[in-house]
Amino acid sequence: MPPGEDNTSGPNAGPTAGTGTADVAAAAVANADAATSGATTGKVASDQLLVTALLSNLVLPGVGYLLVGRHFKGALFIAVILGMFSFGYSLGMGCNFTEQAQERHPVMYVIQWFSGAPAAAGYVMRPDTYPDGAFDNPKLFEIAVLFTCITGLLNLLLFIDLSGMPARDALKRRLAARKETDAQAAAQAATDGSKPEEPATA
Amino acid sequence: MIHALLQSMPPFLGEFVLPFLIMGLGISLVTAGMRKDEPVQILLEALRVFVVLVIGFAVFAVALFLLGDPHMFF
Repeated sequence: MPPGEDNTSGPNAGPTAGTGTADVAAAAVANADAATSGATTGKVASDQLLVTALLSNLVLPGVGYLLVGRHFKGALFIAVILGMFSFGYSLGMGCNFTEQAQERHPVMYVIQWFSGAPAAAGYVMRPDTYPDGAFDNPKLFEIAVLFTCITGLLNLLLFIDLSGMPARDALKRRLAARKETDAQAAAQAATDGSKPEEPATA
Repeated sequence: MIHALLQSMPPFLGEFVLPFLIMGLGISLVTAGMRKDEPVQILLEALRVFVVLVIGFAVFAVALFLLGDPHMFF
């Protein structure tokens, strides 16, 4: 049987063009759903990868994006967040994780710990004695703690963004499938509409 | 080093303009990276967000001067 005759045979081959369009649409949406859900083993593997990416992103900001294959985003986030943290830590002369910072800004002191490994490294490398001039200009010290605090908040934002990435990708695939289906339906309607006109013009 | 550099600048520049420009650049790059996928789109979106942030900072600074107390925050 020629491949072209498959469309004209079978139980779904209706007499109207509308039924065929609905079948094409249903098949496309079903394919998108199948691609979204995937096989069971594949879904478990992707869930494990997502959990690994989320945890590693909490430890080192941006690494989770590298694990899920978003290399440019991961490199960008690593560079920006580590750069901002280094700027704040250097501006505070390493005093961002000292008792002085905890007494002055208790909430921001806690939030900056969400930066992960950079915060742990900053805590380990904190000076034993306060350097000269560290608190001469208190505004600069507040800006320094603000920088490391913003870094922690941005890392939390990345965590939320990464956790919602599978749902967004599935939605994009469904929208792309629907757009393709609409285009196919429009093309089919155009061909069906032109067929009756051919005998009339002839 | 950065502390000494900002300390040597005029207060308006070292305590307000430069830190918040750097902070705005970082925030705009991260938020643009979350919204877009392609590298060029990310950079364009970051530029757009950064321009909006700079305009916001400028309006804030002008408002401080118009209030008559420019040393309220710096």
